Amino acid sequence: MKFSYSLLKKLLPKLPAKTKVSEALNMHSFELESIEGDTLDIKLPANRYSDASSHIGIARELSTSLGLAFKVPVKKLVNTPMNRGLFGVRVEEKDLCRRYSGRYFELKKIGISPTWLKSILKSCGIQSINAVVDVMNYAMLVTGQPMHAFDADEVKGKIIVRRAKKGEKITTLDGKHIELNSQVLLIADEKKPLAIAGIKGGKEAGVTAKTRKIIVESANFDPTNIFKTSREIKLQTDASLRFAHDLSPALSEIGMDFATIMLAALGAKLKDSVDVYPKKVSDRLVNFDVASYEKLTGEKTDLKEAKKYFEALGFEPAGKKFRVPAWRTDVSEFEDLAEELTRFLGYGRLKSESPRVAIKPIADDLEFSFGNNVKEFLTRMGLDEVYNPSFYGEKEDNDFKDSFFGASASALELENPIAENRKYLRKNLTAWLLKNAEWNSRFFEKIRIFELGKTFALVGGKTSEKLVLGVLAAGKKDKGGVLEIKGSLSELLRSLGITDFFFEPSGKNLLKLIVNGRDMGFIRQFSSVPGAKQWVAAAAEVDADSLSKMISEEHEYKPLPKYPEVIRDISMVSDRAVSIGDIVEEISLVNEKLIDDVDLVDEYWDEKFGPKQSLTFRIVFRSDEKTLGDEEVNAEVEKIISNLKRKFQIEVR
Amino acid sequence: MNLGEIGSSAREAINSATTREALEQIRLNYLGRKGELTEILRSLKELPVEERRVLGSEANVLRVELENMLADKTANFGEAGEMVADITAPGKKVSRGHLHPLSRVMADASKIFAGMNFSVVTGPEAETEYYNFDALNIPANHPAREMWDTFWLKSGKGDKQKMLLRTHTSPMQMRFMEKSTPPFQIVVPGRCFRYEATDMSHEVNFYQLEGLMVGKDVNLGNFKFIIEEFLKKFFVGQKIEFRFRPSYFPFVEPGVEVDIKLKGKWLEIMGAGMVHPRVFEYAHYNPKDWQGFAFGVGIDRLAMIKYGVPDIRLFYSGDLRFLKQF
Repeated sequence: MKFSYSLLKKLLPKLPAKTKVSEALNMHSFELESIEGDTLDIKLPANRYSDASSHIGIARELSTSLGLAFKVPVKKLVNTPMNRGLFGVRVEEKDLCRRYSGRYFELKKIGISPTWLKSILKSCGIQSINAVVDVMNYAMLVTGQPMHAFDADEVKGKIIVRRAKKGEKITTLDGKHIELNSQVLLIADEKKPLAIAGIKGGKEAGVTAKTRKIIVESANFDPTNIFKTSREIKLQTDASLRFAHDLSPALSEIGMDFATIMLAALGAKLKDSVDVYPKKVSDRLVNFDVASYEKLTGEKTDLKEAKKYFEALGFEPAGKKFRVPAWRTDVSEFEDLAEELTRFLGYGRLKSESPRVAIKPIADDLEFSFGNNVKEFLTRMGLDEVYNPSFYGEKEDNDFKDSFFGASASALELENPIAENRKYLRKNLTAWLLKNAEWNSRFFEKIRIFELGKTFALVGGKTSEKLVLGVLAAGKKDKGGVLEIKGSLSELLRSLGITDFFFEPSGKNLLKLIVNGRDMGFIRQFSSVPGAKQWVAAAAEVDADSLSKMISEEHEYKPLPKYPEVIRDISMVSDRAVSIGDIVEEISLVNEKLIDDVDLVDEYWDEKFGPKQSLTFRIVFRSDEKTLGDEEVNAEVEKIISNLKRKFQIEVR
Repeated sequence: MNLGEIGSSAREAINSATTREALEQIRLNYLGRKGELTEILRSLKELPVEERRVLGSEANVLRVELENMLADKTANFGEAGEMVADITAPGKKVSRGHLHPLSRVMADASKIFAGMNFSVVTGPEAETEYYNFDALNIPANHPAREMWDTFWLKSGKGDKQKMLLRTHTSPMQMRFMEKSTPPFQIVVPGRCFRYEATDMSHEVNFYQLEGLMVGKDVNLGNFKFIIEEFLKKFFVGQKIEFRFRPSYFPFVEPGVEVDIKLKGKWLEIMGAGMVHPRVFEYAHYNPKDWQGFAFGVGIDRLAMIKYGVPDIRLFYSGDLRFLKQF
């Protein structure tokens, strides 16, 4: 909110230079966002509009922090003419309009404002209109109370504060046509709307140079309704901003009295006034004691010191309590007073002191510790970790249907997406990982990446989220990725103490990961990566939520082998239609006691092979009972070859 | 072979030797027990005195020369053993995986807090309006809510409440308090979301670390201690100064903003304060019995400061040229 340094200086003649003011505001009151010429842009907290969206409020803060004398420049007027019938007010919505004060003035002419006043308005971002309108705005800047003046000749009958009828229209002072609904509170006369209450005046009863009789309004409106209406009709004004932050109805008369003095200086004669104020707000008595303060902040003070600051803020001692004026809407209990005192004593004064608490073992968060383990493991395996956005579009959701939310799940949609291609929360990690591949294909020959992140869906009409591990291996003609992922995931599972798992092919390009009999993930092969020429990829997703609950820390010792292993390689030509997985399984089944491991060590195919491929398997034989002899091993190899010949028609090379 | 021939053939052999072992062989050939020069020296005693003197001194001069040559040349090869590879060539590029800088910062931060007896807790990213706002003393249709630009979800029929993407990690204050009895101290790292335009310092998704400590007499001075210790450890090796300023968050009272000075520059780093009595009431704690502090620090911001990253969007770019630097 914009404030004028010169207006503050008028209120506090001893105000130091702007740098000093800036320091005092930042360290004791509010953040000063910028200083430009005479304008101070202050970030006002949402709970301080009632007392501090005014130059009086800021001056009071500065007088307290800088120790300057400050006198509020508003005199309470007495013996003002009341209820003489020159105008009338009827408030139909007493909940929405908590106070309606009006004063009726007559004046001989309406000129323009003096230069000093115009320049203060300008510093605060307000345009000068004419002497009366400028006084209204100036009174708001000084006291924080939004004010409005109507041309009394244009007000037909009583002023009525009511809800708008659906479809009712108003033209605002600046010529905008706005259609209203029944949520909008109106200031109307008996014929037409005069103003959108607390937001903007209407053109019809606006004060012009020709106006000679005015009704000045200093009212108070329900903050929630102003907040909602202002959003709905997309009109935010200096007045609506203040009202939405819950001004105290006590401000009405402060603003009105200030404006009255200003108008009198313009030659305006006060002829009548009305104040509809059914539920009066009063000052509050708030507890404060030094012992509680010390307990809350750890800082020592004494009552004398506290009083000094409280009195500067306008809080008067009342027995063991302090009387807090009604306009300080944010101060209602001990903690609030404690904050006031701490602000002005300075946070720098607080002692930094180790807490005195009994230590207890820290609890382990499964998601966090599991996540860290997985991340550490995969980076050790050479994979790089990426973080992708949680949002994507329709295409990314349609392209990758695999998820862990079940078949009935649908993508979770945002009410207010940042863009059309970010309108869903991601249900899979693969879409973004493939985009990572595309981007990085410009700089790398191949990549190995993973992400551990939340995915979302609507499941049975309920918002659900799941932690998923996504892994991607991609590169130029990089066909080995899928097997690397298979290997990495297997090692990962083993490191987590999970032994009951296997990969089950489902079609040519999809492997399902089954852990403890449950579907826990998949690896999918992609023959191309969009946007990355000649790149192929494999991507895996694993249900990390469920997996984290299966881990066991039991790693059981197995005796080291007593007898040496014997290694044999078998090279063969087989039909490409025969899957390697089946051959490996067939070999292993020949003698489960003696065959320790089967691995594919070479794979070759080119055009001239036609439908055939060349494969080399390495078989490790080992017995737990003795050293194996050549003959025994040869016999097993013979058996393997004959089985493979019979079952898959292979030829040994 | 005469002495001159022995000398020239030995010199040539030494000069053309390429390994330490070759030199050793040369030493054996000429100076060893059965070496050629040794043989000559040994045969001296059979010669007449005059000849013995002349030849003896020449042979000894050659012996010293060869010994020196061998020693010099051996030194050239450095340590014992054959030269396996040229050790002066550039180190081989070994590939390793890289932890995301935000993972690293979260792990480091959690470790520092664990060292001060804080437990780590995590929570959902899709939150209810109640936990994200109401229970934190941020009522609906209150302008205070505008401090948090919110992504709202199209909630389903099964959702009992209006759902949103958490705008901060603070909802975990309430979720944790509902299930726990003080005293306790926790930190909550996690992803948060703000509905706002992205630029160098704003992202729609970002990370926060929430802290909450509640006890009988946990005070604001204790907050200062914990947070100073944390920041000193986190920015270890750097000169750091602290500044605490007033601030406003509806769920704390008093509210504090923490700035640090690094390399001569003041930086806003976190918002904090004493837990508001209303928040304790929402958690069904009696505010007369308990007090404590809460804080929230931007993980991305910590990482940007620590590693000198100029643009927050790099963290979510998936650009491996960036990620492989950590």
